[in-house]
Amino acid sequence: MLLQLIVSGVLLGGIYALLSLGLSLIFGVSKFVNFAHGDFVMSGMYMAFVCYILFSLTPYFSWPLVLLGGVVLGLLLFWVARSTIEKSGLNQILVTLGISMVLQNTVMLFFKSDYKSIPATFGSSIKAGSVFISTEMLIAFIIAVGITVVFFCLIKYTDTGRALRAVSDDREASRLMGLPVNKLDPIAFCLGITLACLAGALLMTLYPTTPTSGSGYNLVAWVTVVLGGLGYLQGALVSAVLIGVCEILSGFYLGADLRQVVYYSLFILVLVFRPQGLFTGLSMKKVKK
Amino acid sequence: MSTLFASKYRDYLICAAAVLILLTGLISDNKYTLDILITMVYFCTLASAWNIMCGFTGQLSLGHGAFLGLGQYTSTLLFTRLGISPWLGMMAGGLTAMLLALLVGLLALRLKGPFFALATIALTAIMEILAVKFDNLTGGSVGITIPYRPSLENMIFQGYHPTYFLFVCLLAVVLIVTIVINKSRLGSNLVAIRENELTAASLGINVFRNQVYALMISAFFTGVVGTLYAQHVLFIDPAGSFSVVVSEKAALISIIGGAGTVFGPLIGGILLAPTEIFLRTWLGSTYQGAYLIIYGVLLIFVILVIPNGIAGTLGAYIKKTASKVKLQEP
Repeated sequence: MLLQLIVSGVLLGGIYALLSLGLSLIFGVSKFVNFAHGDFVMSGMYMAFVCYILFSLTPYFSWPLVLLGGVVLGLLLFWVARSTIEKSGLNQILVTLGISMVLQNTVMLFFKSDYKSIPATFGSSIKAGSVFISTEMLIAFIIAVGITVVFFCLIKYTDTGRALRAVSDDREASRLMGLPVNKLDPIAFCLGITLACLAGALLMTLYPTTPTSGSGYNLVAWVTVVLGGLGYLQGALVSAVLIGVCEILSGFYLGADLRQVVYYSLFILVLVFRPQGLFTGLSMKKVKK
Repeated sequence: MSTLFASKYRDYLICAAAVLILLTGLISDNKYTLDILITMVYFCTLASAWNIMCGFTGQLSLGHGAFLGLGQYTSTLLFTRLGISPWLGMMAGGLTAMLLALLVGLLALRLKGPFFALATIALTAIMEILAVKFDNLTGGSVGITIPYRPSLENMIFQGYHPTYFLFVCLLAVVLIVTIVINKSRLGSNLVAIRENELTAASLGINVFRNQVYALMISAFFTGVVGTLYAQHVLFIDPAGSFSVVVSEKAALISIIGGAGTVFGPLIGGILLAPTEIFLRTWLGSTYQGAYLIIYGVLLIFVILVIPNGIAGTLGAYIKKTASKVKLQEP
């Protein structure tokens, strides 16, 4: 039973990783505090839903459209919030809070507040040894891992990626070295929001959504990012898996309604006692030539 | 008049004038008007209580819903389960909210900026889940309906006039406390912390302790106003009490009006609450939540264009023109 739970937790964690990578990237590169991240995930879910309703495309096929939508939303976010970058964090929170309100309620205006879902493409589950794995979950996990790998390759091996990592490491120094920091900000925003939207599209295959489900994902993303160490991308991966396992385990042993209490409390404790995060040692801090 | 206005009692005078103007609402016999006024004063009070902590210290709390809900649940449970009058329950609610604030403050006030805000959001979420979970005590997600037994002792009244009067009184108390804090050493300490924490600390101000005090005072009044509101609507439930939206609204009203000023939250509430009710009735239930879009846009606008809020910007403008006049005098 324990094995079963841990496997489910890891699968969920894979998707949470995708969700929090974007947040971590934006925070790392632009030092921008995005409190609307969950609402971008929610937007991704609704984009996938619209694609299903209009063109009857499942998220497995509609992802290019969601990706496009993510880029547009990322640019939009950057355009609205660009003047608060490098300024007080409070203003960033408040602006993104405003954006979150606008996003949530615009979606509610068009789709009403009831649950929306896409019927499952694969109904059955796979049995591996004594462990049952839902096919949807497994596929979502594999895609999430795929996107994560592509993302890390981009960050690690392309010039833009190297520049992003440099800026994330030390913004001032990068500027002095002649990196176009102002041009890298929108790239980070686009990448980050796109990841959020893609995570949303994947989540749409697993869970139903309402316009307000963004706030939950927002907390999940922040919990993951803080646990992993702010701006440290690898840390976010590890802590996402941890959060996924923690959620499934506490959901099973304490009851479904208490499952969030555990990691919210964990979150507050980590914030208070180890605000630099648990997994900062894993960072790829060195910017290699 | 001008000497009176410049005197140290200026804030008290403005406060008295505002309260008197608000009290003229008692003339109205229209239940609908009174309801709007009550909601307005409720949000003014909530925002003012929020302002005591967050406006003055610059720590952004998005979790005042936790204190509000705790106050409501304490007084309501005492009333419905044990028959204790809400007048006492109100104090008990305020005090439990204060205790929670002490706990939260001791833990979370070490955090700065976004992390404090996140911790308060998580706190509200935890409180809501707990209120749903312990349903044999709290009635679960269905909520609690407070029996309608009008009497002074039960703080339930037949008309809306006494309720409105109570709300205005509480608003007056919160405003006076804000003015007193603003003029006191605590207030100066808090503003010093907001403007530059390092300098404040190096001048010997205990940053942490001052902030915890402010949070406790703020939470106390939030709990009290929660009780009053619960006795007005006669219903509480976890989603409505421990709501992040209400916390956000308190913050938003304060910030749009001008956080860190005495009358900013009042101005914000008077402008925003009726607008909200008007928009809600005008847009109807088909466009539910549409008013929040306008709130959101307004918030973004205020932050990007006038980050000091209405009162802050107006105050700075008046000071500027006043200093100009003085310069030309000799």
